[in-house]
Amino acid sequence: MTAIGCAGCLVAVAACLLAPAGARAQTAEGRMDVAFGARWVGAATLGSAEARLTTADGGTRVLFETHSELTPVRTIEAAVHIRVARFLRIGGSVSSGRSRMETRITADFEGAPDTVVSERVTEFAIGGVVAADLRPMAGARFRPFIAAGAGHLRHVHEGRPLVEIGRLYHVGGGADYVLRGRGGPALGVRVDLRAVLRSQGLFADGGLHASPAVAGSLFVRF
Amino acid sequence: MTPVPFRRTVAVVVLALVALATAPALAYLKLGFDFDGRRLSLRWTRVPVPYFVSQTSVPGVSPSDFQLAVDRAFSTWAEVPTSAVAFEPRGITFALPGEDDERSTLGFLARPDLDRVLASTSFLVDGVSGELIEADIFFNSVFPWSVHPGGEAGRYDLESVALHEIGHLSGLGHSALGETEFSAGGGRRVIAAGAVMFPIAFPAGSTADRTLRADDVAGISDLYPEPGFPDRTGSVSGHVTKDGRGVFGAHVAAFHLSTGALVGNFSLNEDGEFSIAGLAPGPHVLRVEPLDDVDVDGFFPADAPVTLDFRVTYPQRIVVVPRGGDSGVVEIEVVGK
Repeated sequence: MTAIGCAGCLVAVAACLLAPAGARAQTAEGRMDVAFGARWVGAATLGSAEARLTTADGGTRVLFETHSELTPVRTIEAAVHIRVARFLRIGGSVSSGRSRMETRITADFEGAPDTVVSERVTEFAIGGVVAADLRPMAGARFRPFIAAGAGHLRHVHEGRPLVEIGRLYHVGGGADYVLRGRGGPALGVRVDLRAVLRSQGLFADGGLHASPAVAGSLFVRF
Repeated sequence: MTPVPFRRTVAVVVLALVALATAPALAYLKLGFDFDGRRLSLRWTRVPVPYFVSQTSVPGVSPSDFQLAVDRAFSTWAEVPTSAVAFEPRGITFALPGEDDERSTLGFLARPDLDRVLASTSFLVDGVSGELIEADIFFNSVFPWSVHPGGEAGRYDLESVALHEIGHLSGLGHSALGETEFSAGGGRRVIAAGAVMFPIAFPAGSTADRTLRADDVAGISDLYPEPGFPDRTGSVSGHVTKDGRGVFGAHVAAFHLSTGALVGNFSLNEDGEFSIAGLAPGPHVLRVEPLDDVDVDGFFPADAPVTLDFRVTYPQRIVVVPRGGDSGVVEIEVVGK
């Protein structure tokens, strides 16, 4: 099992263990919320590579160089949060979005002009999150939070010839603003800002590749 | 005087008609021949392939030195994990390479008439069954040779040249992954090569061709695949066209953006069709260039309609190789120089 898988399990176990406490903590903050929204994740480098030929002395000459990146991803996202303590929520989310893998080719040995080649990529993500609510403001309608999570990533190439599996981690914060909350489920707006770290999938070097991400969503709190 | 550069060629000695084949549309440039109205690849149907070493020597290379060097070269091919090719040393023989004795024999021969040929591989094919019977390799003893582990200045590395010729003995044709320049004395000098099967040898003293590259590994694995190899790898295929017409003999190289592996092949018919098999799954960049770094006759029959007048071209899309399948047809339009 991957580290992401383990993180998902931990979140699930925590949900089970903390559910009774959550029940006791159920207040005006609600027991659970469901959110739908959109997220923008910034570009990330996929690394550079050299097409190398071998020289007589065992060294190399470069036939051409490549510099690849994943362009910003615009995703739609659904999330569920369950309150497990007065200031603590756990949850999960799924998202899907389109991007492009772009590769800039430079330094051709025979002087071919630099060029950019690309293909469309769809990114699917599923993951868990732990969010800690901070002190509410504006009469409890506005409540900032900090959050961290981990997830499983799938990059699907154009035409679905290949699916590459990766991981993502994120840390950040945001705020919930309740638009309507009296009598019945509360309706609100959530905005968050994250640093997203992605690994594997298209990020074949095994390292973590950081990108900023911002999201906005509507939530219904029960 | 050290004669550089030298071309290693594939001499073809057959009972049936054998030619450098433009081979099956899929996969690598393989040696082949026309038999009974069909185009067949030169390929051993039974492995391990037995071979004998001729009791010959040259200054600096004793018969046992020679045997050890060619054994190492055979082992290098046999150790490719994705290929099932195997060889079996049968010891020393007094026969010489080129004798039709149904024994694949490697040894030195003095061929001063072939003043640009370091070594050559010839084949004997059964004229009735079409089966490959024998493949001999001669090393031209008019050149200075070495088996020194680090190479020797002014002497050609026997193991490197043997590795190239054993690629031919196995059925592989030449690779065009390499860059050359014209030298002052005429001929071409290799600047760098991306395959042991590049047709022009490195200068004397170099041992750089003792190591197979991705292109060599893909080629031998395609010809003698280990079980499961076709399912674990994929291919790229498509057409190269110019002014709306297919281009024959365009060299297409596939570069894996993650692994850095560089594997090449040619468009092999007048529709400009090409296919490169044995590629690791993942995104690739393709590069297309004319066959202008080597002599065309090292790859194709002299009358092949090879097109050389076009520029190096990178198709505008990244090509994703699936696991156990093909990328789908990639259309590549090239333009004249």
